[in-house]
Order: sequence, then structure tokens, then C-alpha cells
Amino acid sequence: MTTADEARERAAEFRAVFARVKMEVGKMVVGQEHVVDGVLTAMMAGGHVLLEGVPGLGKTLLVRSLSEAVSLAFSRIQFTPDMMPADIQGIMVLTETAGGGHELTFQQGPLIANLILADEINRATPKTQSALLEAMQEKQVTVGRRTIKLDEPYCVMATQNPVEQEGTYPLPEAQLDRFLFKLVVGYPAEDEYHAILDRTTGADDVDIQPVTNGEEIRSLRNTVRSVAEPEAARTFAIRLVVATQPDNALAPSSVAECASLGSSPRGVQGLILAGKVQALLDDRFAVSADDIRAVALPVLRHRILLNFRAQANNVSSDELVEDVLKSVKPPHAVAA
Amino acid sequence: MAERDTEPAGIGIDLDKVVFRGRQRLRLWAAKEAAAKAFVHLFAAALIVPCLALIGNLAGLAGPSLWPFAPMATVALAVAAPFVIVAVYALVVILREKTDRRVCLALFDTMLDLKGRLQAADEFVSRGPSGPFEQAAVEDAAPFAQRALDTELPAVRTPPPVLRARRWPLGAVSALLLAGAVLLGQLPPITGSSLVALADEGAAGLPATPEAAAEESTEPPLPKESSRRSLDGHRPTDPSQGESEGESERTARSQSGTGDARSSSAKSSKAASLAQQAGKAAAGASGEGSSKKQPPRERPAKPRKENKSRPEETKQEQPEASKGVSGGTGRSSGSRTSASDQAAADDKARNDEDEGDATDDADEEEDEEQKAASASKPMLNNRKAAVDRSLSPSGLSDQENEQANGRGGPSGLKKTRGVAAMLLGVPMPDHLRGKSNPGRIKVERERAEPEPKTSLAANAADRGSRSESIGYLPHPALAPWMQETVRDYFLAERARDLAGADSTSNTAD
Repeated sequence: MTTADEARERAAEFRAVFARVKMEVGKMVVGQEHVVDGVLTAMMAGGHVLLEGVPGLGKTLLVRSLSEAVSLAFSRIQFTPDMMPADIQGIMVLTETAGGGHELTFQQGPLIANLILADEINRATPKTQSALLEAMQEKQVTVGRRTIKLDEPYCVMATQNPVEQEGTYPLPEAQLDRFLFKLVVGYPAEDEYHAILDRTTGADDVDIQPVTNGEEIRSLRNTVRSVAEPEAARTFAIRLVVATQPDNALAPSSVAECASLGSSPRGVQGLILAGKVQALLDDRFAVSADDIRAVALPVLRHRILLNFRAQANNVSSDELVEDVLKSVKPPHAVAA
Repeated sequence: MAERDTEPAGIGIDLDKVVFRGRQRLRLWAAKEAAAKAFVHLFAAALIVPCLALIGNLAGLAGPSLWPFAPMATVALAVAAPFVIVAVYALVVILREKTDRRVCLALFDTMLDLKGRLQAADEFVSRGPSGPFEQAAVEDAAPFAQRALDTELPAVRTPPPVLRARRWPLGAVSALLLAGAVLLGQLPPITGSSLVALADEGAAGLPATPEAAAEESTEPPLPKESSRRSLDGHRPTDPSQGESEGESERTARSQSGTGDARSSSAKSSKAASLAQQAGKAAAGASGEGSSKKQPPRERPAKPRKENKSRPEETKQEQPEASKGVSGGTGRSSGSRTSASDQAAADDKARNDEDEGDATDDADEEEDEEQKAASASKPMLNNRKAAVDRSLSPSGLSDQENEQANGRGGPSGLKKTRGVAAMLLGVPMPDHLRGKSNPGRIKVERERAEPEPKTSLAANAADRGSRSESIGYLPHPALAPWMQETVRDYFLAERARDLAGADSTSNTAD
């Protein structure tokens, strides 16, 4: 077997596992194709996902179904305003020993698992939200003088509600930047409501079978990172990211006027990694500018901080990303 | 899978062919664009040959002609030269076009929707052997490179060149110049003998006496006047008609000049008001059609000041208007009253409108303030009073903001705070305002000097021995092995003491 054949085999395995997981999740989640694809893409790329949508659209159901399909250690954290960092990281508690003595032992929190569902993350205080920072970036948790390495794959999927902002705490930029994707969950189509009613109001239970495991997902993540990156795709991703920075020469006028902060280098990493997943799904072995373009919106939309002018004129970060995509052309592009 | 068996070297050759095709394509494209750009200046280029011919022929009037071409050849050259210039410009662009190899491949990637396969393969081939995915990408690109060679790209279509209307006069000018050049080219060169002949012809045409010259000079003004009138569009048939028109104009001027100033002002104000009413009526009658024709109503910042000063102006204008109506036209008081009522109604409507504008402005300012406030406090959805921390022990909050329910943010009643939150459902006010306790806490200092007191010292020997039980002594429950150890220890100590006592008694003996 040549090395090229090996690459083809790994790519085929990736597509097969991706399709299996998607099919299992699709047993429970109706529609929302782009959201399911986005969640799976982020998981395969080794990133975290922020799901935003109004209540009742199946955000929590999606993540729970995914956890059942991938057979990972799953924990759910319902964020509340009175939650403390120790509630999710873990805490040293005084326990009684067999001889009648006492000792401090570490009781680990729900953050120590493989797949974390951080439900309504914006209801917790920034102090508690910040407890996720180390876990999401360094894949470890430090409590007191104890540092616990988290097992791979480690994936945080957080949900938040764009309405009912009273009493919520917007995620800080450092927290937002750690999410690979921000996916907006929309309302289902009219014909999808029939399937939703069939699955939720009938007597039959939907059973989701585990179709993969952590070991396989680790292997697939290596496959994703092996995908080739041509110079053109890399340059295009870099240009997209710098064009979101308002002081940069590549930034379109709308970004210069309405953005106060652009994407960080994490944005380029996210574009390339997610673009590699897109390339594999499209039966290619090298990421292209089209792949970068396809994932630009979920990767960049939460990394642009809007200024007062944008808020006053109801300019969204999605519009700014669209402007960036229109203004930045791939290198060596020819107008057909 | 047979297509994927192609070796990378073969792919490199195919990519070279693709690059060659792409380069040809791009050159053609650039040439067409250049030709289209140059075509815009076609009329300007058409001026070159006529100008040269004209200059050459003008110079030829005084001497030998510098323009060597015959009239027909000149016309042909003038027509052909602009097109030749455009063609040469496009050729130069083609020759100077240096297209990057990656751009040529990107052309096929874009037009055949190959998702950058050819560019990536070319890069990986030029970079040399690398990882499995690079090799797979190169092999994957082979059938697409072949497809790029086999596919005929659609024809290059550039937008048709447009000769703008403002450039058409250049064409007319060039045609005139060409005609002038051709005519000049047919004239004989001006020499000394021809100048003498021209002078003789001029002398023969002059009048013999000054009187005859004066008679000739009186005739020309009439055609001039008629030509001027004809240019204006009025062709007078009778000279007296012009005089009568002049008289009527003078009469009109004198009437307007000697008329009553008051009546004129009254007429003007009345005409204005009537025109305003007529305009309103017409607007009402025409409905949407007329309203659409009107420009959108704007409210700039300046007109507000004018609106404020408008009632004073109307107060000043109103008496004048009534005077004008009474003096100028001599209408009855009834009509005067109706006119003044109409003016008052108009003023009232205007004032109402101004008030409406003022309230709108206030609303806008309020909205802006709200927006500004929402920017500084983005999470506040309603504009209710901020909650404070004054809590009541009863657990009931009498605050204005009903949102102060303890869920996040400052609120009256903290159902969940700190450790007390573990008691579910128990409202725990964390601060009570008022007296901390019913009594009065006061620390008083007394200035008192210490006084020594005498007491008898107790003798320890006088205490005697204990006569009662000392009570219960807690005996720690020791493990059996420890009890045994303690017992052994004290037995050993006692044995040692006994042994020591025996030895001392023996030595004493």
C-alpha cells in the first residue's frame, strides 16, 4: 500500500464515521443539517462549539444525542447565576478515613469528562464562566495545587439564549475566542414539524446506538490534521482574519467603521482546521479557499466585537463577515 | 481508479499544458480588454491623421507641401489609422502580458469548479515528495488536469465598447479637419504673383466714389436685423408691428411703475394665499399622484428655528394682508373676515404642526438617549428604577421593579446567596436595616485608682490530706496490647526499684 492509498483509506474512514454519527444524531434531531454538520465538524477538528438559539429548538437535545452516539464520558452543567467555579471544576472536601481520622480529598466537578454540555452558559457569572478557560484551551483543570489533565477528546458544547438577556452575563471575549464555532440554530422548516411530532409525541422511543468511541475520534482528529494545506488556502485564511481587524488595510469600510476588535490568530487556526474537515468530507486531500469560505461565518462571527455605531445601526457581525468575504479574494484568483 | 494510476511526473506535464492553455487564454482576455479600452479613444485617435494633413497642407500654402499623400489616400489613411492604433495597443498588451503560473491554474480551477485541485497539485509537485495526503492530492488532481485539457472554455466575452455621446463631436471635428485638409491640399501654393492677382481683383470690386460707398453702406443693416429676429424665432412681417410691441411693453412698464404699491403688495399676498389654497386643493384632488411627485419631507436642524419664528412673522404679515385686500380690491368686510379666518386657520394648523414636530423631536431625543443608555448598560431591557439592596425581613419586596426577584443582579431579596442558598426555599435576607439590637451599647470608662488589699498567706502544710473521694476519673479505653505494654513497663520499673533497694541494703550490710 502506497502512502497515497493510506491517505485515501484514512479519508474514507473519516467520511464513514462522520456519516454514521450524523445518521444516529439524525434519529433524534430533525433537520438543522448545518448545525449538526457544524457540531460534528468542530468535534472532529478538536474545537468547542457555542450554540445560540431561542428556547425549544433542540440545542440541548442535539448535544445529548451526540454524546450517546459517540460513547464518550458526558456531563451536563446547567449554569445558574449562583454557580461558583468550584461547582464545575471540583473542590477539596474533608472526608473521614477508616481509622476515624479526617483528610482532604478532591471531589472532581462535572468539567472533568470528555463531552461537556454547558447549558445556558451566559446565566453564570463571568467568574464561573472563566473557570472554563483553562479547561477549554489547555485541556487541564487546576484546583488548589492539583492539576488534572483532561482526557482527549475533550469538547465543550455550550448553549445560550439570545433573548431573555435580563440577568445574564455576556461571555467575555477571552471565552468566546476559545470556541471554534458559533452556530446559530434557527427554526425548523414546515415539513420538519411533522417529523418532530412523530418522534416526540408518539409512543415509540428513539434509541441511539453508540457508533464510535473516544479512541476512534482521536484517530480521526489526527487524520484531519494530516490534510495538506496549500499556500493559497493558507494565505486566503490569513487575509480573511486580518480583514476583520478594523485597523488593517485589507479591512472593508464596514469593518473599519463598525468593528472595534477583530479576530485573533485563533481564528486562522479555526479556519484551517475546519476547512480541512470540509476538504475531507468533499473527498479531497488538500484544503482549498472554498473550504475556508464555507466555514468562515461560524468561525469568525463571534470573534468580531462590534462598536457602538454598529449597535446603533443594527449591524450584525454576520454582515461584517459577509463584507469581508466579498472584499477579500483568494490569491491568484481570476474573475471568470 | 484507472485515472488515479497516473504518475506524478505525468501530472506535472499535464499541468504544464494546462498552464500553457491558461496563459493563452489570459493573454487573449487581456488583449480584448485592452482593445475595448482603446476603442473608447477611437475618435481621439481619428484626429491624428487629419491634424497632420492639415498642418502639412497649411505649410504647403507658403511653400512645398509637407503632406505627401493624395486626397483619396489621406481619407483612407484617416479612416484606417484609428483602428490600426487600437490594434497596435492590443498587440503591445499581449506582448507585455506576463501571467503567473498559479493564475493560469486558478483560471481552470475557477471555471471548472475544481476547488483549487490544480493549484494545490502544482504546488505539491514543485515542492517535492512529502506526506501521504500531499501525494494523494497530486494523484487526485490528475483526472482533473486531463479534464482541463479536454474542456473547451467558453468564449471570452468582454463588454462591448461604448462610444459615449460626448466623444462623438471629436468624430465630427476630425471629419471637418479632414475635409479642410483635403481642400487645402487642392489649393495652389500662394506665391508672389498670385498675391498681386488677388490685390487686383480686390481693387476692381471697390466703389468708385465715396458717395457710392456711403449708399452701399446704408443697405446692409436691414438683413442683419431680419437675421437676428429670425434667430430669435420671430419673423416680423410689418415694421410697424415691432413698434406697436415696443409701445405695449412701455405701457406695461409705466402701469406697473405708477400703480399703487399697497395694491401691488396686497395683490401679491392675495395671490400667494390663493396659490397656496389652490395648491392645497390641487394636492387634495390629485391624491397620491401629486404626493408622489413631491420630494420627501425632510426635517433638517435649521428649519426648526424658522418654525419657531414663524408665528411672529405671520402676526406681522396678517394686518398687511388685510389692508391689501381692503384697499386694493375694495371687498366687503365679510370677505375680509373670511380671509382673516382662513389665515388664522392656516396659522393654527401650522402651529399644530410645529407642536407635532416638537413632540416628535422630543421622542427622537428620548429614543437616542435610550439607545445611548442601552449601550452603556446593554442588558437592561426595560427602563425601570434600579433596584437597591434595602431588604425587609418579611421577604416581601416593595420595590418598583418587579424584576427584582433574586435571579441575578442586585435585587431586594436574595433567595440564593452564599452558603444560605443550600437551604432551599428559605429566603435569607443578608442585611437588615435599622437597629441591630433593642438595647443600648455603651462603653464607659471609670477613672479608679487601684487599692491594695491585704490578705494572709496560706500555708500549704495546713491543708492536710484529702479525706474525700476525688470523684470519677475518666479512664481511656486502651487497646489490649497497649494495656499489656503499660503493665509490663510499670512491672519492669518496680522490679528495677526493688533490685536497687536490695543492692543498697547489701552494701550497707
